[in-house]
Amino acid sequence: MNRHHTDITSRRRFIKASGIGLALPMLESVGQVAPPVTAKAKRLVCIGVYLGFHTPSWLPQNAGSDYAMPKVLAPLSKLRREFSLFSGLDHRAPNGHKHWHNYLTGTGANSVSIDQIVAQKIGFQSRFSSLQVTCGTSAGSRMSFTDGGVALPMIGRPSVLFGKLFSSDSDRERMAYLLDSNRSVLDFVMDDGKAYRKTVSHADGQKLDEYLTAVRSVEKEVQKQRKWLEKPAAKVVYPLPKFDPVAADLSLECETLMYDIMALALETDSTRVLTFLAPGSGQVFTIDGERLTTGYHGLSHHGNSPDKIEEYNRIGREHVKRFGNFLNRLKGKTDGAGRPLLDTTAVLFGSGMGNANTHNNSNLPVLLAGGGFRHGKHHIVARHGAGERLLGDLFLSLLESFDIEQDRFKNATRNMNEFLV
Amino acid sequence: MNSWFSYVILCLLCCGLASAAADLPQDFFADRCLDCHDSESEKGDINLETFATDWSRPETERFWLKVLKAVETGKMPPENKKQPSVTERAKAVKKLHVVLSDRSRPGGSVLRRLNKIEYENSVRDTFSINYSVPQGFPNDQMHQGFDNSAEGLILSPPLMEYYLSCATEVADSLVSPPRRIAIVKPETVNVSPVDMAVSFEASQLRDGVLRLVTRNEVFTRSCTWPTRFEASHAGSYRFTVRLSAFKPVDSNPLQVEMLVTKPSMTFTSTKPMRRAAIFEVSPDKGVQEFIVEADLEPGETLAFYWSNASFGWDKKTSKSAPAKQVNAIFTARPKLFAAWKKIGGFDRRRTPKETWAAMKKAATDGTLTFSKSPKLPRRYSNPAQLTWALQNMLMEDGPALNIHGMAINGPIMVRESKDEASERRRTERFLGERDGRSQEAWAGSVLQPLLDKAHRRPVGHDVVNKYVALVTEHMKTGQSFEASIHLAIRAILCSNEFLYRNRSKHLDDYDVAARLSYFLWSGPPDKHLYKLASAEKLSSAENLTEEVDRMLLNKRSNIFLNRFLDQWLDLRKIPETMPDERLIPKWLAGHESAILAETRMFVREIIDQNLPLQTFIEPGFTYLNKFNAQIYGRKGIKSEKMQRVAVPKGGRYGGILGQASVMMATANGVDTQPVLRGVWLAQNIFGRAPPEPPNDVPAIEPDTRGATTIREQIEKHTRDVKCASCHRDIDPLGFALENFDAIGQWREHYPIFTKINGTVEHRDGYPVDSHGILPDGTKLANVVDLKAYLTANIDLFSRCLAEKLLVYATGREMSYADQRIIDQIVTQVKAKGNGTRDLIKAIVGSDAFRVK
Repeated sequence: MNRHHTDITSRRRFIKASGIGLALPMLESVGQVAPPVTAKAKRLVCIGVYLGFHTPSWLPQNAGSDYAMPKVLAPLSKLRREFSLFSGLDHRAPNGHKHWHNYLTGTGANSVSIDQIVAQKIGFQSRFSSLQVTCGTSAGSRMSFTDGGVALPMIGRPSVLFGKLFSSDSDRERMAYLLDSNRSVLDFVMDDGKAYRKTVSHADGQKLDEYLTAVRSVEKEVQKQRKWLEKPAAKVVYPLPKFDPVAADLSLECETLMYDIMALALETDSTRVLTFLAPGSGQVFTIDGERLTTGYHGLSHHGNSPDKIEEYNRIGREHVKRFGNFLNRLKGKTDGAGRPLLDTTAVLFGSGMGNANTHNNSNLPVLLAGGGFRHGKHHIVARHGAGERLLGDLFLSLLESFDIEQDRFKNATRNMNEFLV
Repeated sequence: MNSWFSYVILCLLCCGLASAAADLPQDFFADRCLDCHDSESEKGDINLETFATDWSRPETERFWLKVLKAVETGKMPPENKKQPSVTERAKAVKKLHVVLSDRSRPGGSVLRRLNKIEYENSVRDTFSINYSVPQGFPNDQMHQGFDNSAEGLILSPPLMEYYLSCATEVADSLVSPPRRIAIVKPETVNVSPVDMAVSFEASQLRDGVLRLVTRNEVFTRSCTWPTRFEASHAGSYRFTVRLSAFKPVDSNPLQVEMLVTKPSMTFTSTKPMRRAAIFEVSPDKGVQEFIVEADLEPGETLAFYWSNASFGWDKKTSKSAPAKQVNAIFTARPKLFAAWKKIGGFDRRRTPKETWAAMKKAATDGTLTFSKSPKLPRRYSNPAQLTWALQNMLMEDGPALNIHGMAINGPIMVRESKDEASERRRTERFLGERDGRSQEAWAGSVLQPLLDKAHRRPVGHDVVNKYVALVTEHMKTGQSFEASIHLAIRAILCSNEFLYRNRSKHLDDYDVAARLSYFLWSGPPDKHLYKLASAEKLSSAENLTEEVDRMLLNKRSNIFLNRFLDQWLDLRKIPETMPDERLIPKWLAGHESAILAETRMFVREIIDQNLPLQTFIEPGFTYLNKFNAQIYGRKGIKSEKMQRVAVPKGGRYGGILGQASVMMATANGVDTQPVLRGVWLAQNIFGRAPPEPPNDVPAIEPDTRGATTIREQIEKHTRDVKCASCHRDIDPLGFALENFDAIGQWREHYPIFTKINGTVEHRDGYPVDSHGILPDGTKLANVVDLKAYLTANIDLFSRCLAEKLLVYATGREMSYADQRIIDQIVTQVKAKGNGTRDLIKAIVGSDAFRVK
């Protein structure tokens, strides 16, 4: 299927400087050694804007640090030192809405997404291994996947997310009893399920495996919650509105709330892995009191009409504005060691769709902020030849900053360390 | 010996494989397909050189179905390649049909998880409780257009977490969690007048006391109560209160009543409130102390009510009572009456306090002229306002009741609250009496009926014993019988027997009963169905179809109607669509409910009366009220009640191809998209879902600048031959509906809206061009022609609807063999008059429904 990579034999980069490592130079660039990415990221946030952006309004003309801030990114002007922009990255994945979710999983059969790889490693450090958030209750939201490619449901209501994170439960004794006895429940249904598994056909067996995997996973989660019950819960004050703006027309309002709650989640260390999907369908937005002329999806299929592009960009800027507020918040809050949260939080902002107008999923919009990486530049990444890099290569660097060593991320086998340190 | 044996096996296998391969049209592939579809290129992921022949895998059949469809419909080879002759193609197609006929079987359902609404209904029926899943419970994924497809319904860990917490909620409602009688030390709260409620003109803080002046029947206009106290536990509390009379006018004692209330203000009447105590305050004994012992529920407190105050009246007495009270005061103090006239009487801009302040000022003004016995009016324009103003006077001059403070001590004796008591009784009812039985026997008697319902079949002793063992194990750890039953209930709700259907290898009567009840009621079987299943009567097609009639007649089938229509016709998209105000002056909730009701009542009638399938397309009737009549431009309907009205056949309106609900569901509230509507029609009416665009089609960047109408825009897109092959089928259908705007109004022109001085003007733009040519050459001028075409070729629609119903009912894709069964159903039903209910019955009676 995808024949863009020949087998690359040498792909090892620096192993952490704290150990003894072999520095293997990359074949293509003899003499240049990719510097190490030492484990410094403690949190990961992955954000996907479903209907993408208008590429000419999103990408700067020039590479380097002196680029003129493009129209849609105007709200980030003051933060330009905090993020890096990439052109030319994608997974070489198929086109169309159906393949949007490859954004975090790479191309090919459904498999685990990068946020879950990180959650598997660091999830135990906080009350929630990871949280998946969106706006509204569309069941089609798929962005985060566990092993085996099972899509994780996303929380679309601010009240539910807030309640999950911060509801204080006075009856802790009762909670402890329930968690303990739930383990007996799960053991029981697991045994029951395993016995039944022995009697079923292949196809039914696969469905049952889903069930057994879920039970096993909840068992682990119950054990974890039990341990966390010993610690005092985080207390937070936030003016949550009385109703949840879940209607599609109000998704930008919901987005504002969700960013606030996600920031609180990071600040209280309730979780260290967040995934957020800013959805888009046919809704006709009202921005700054003015109703747009066409639905969001319709605008994304602008057919190069300047009026439609203008409105599409207005929505794009709204997304970027909220994202900028989120970054500012992480920048302003410090962790236990007195460093801004943003320094140890890697934030990926982009989309699984490169050109919504043509349903094309190449040349994805990719912005990386925080995480202690070197920022401020626009990198134009080569798509062929020696300097070619895939989005999966960026993921490999990201994983390395969490101390996760992987040889490959689907079809990517190098990394992008030299762009980030 | 061994090696020879395995050699023979190998040969036989190869022969087997070879014979399967020989049946396929290999020559055709070699001549017409392998250029693009060999193992090297595998264009569109189709490899016709080396392929799987393991027919036990559903993917194999799907692959060959795809190949058959592509060759049969002429999509492959693509238009720009050399085409086979008609006979050559027919031969290849025939071979593929034979292979599929030979290998395909009806069925193929896998374990099918309960979806959200099925789960909810199953919990309700199994436990006989009124239960709803919590907000935030994950929605189900759609697969093949429906949210109840076995493949689409996966069980992710987060969903399992929800199941576990829902199980706890259900168990809590049946077996209340253990409550220890709280050991609470009584506390004393001192309440000063500052911490008492001042409500409207009922009370005032004056001279360090809280003063009451009236016996107005409305609670918040006459009473006061402590603002910062409420009983923490159910039990008895001791109130020690200090009261005195302020400037009494006679020697009658002041009657005070202590009312039981909650601290939140309410406009209830004092009449039905419970009295904790009634006592009398002497007018001449200064500050007196009273002790009240009150029995309170959590959250309650006591309020003071001066029940024999002279100022005040009963609501039910004559309307002149307030005026009489006022006049009594004005008779005693005529200067006040003159002051009242001087300040101009009632003025809505003045608060009662301001009114009294103005009256007082006027009364003390030396220049005021007044009569000592004025002629007092019988009526006042706003007597209540005046009484409230005068209450301010009473606060200053008396008579009034002074409250100096109180101490509240408690809870002295904690008891079970009312809620706790009712929970306990419910648990007792649920568990029943032990009656001298062993714990195991008792547990078994509680759990057996639950398990029968939860598993949707009578369970054996081994199953009951497993759960009883769970109960006894839990009790061994020191937990109560109740807590252990609570645990067993949680386990029942998380078990695979509860969460999944189609568990047997071959569907037995109980499985079929469940398939039928979840199909028509989205819930588990009822007693009658279980009886038929236990008597093994459901293997007969006749009994099954009889049940369809009974179940469709039952109101519970509305859930089937609504859910099926919401998903088949995409009506669920309507609540998410907000229509543009320029299309219709004011879009109200009434419009939305009218258009949905129209379609639902329409289909309800078609099913109830067994009307022929053609009725969907050309009905001759519909259901209107004033809201959707407005959308259709139909005059003369003023009622909000939906009524059945005649619609001329052969016209633009009527039927699902003319209803506003469909037009709205296939647009985005602002403008229409013919391609979207075309795809919708192809998928949902014609039963010809356009294939997915192939993965390796390179991105096309169409330049649509310069296109004026939407038709020109789309034509610019579809010039490329790769696009045209599908768009040729899609576009004519969608354009036929272009006369309907985004909310279903008929238009001859596209509208142009311009804003002039704040108002939006509308004028006609380009004319709507709704003509099209179907792939078979039929010319369509507009939707009327489209409907005529469909009516003349009604089998297309029947087949499409039959397949949708079967997919919804069985939760699986239709195999090749299933498709042939559908063909037979369509023919049979047509021979009997094409009745819609007959179609549903034929589906239920078919092999496709009764096989796993």
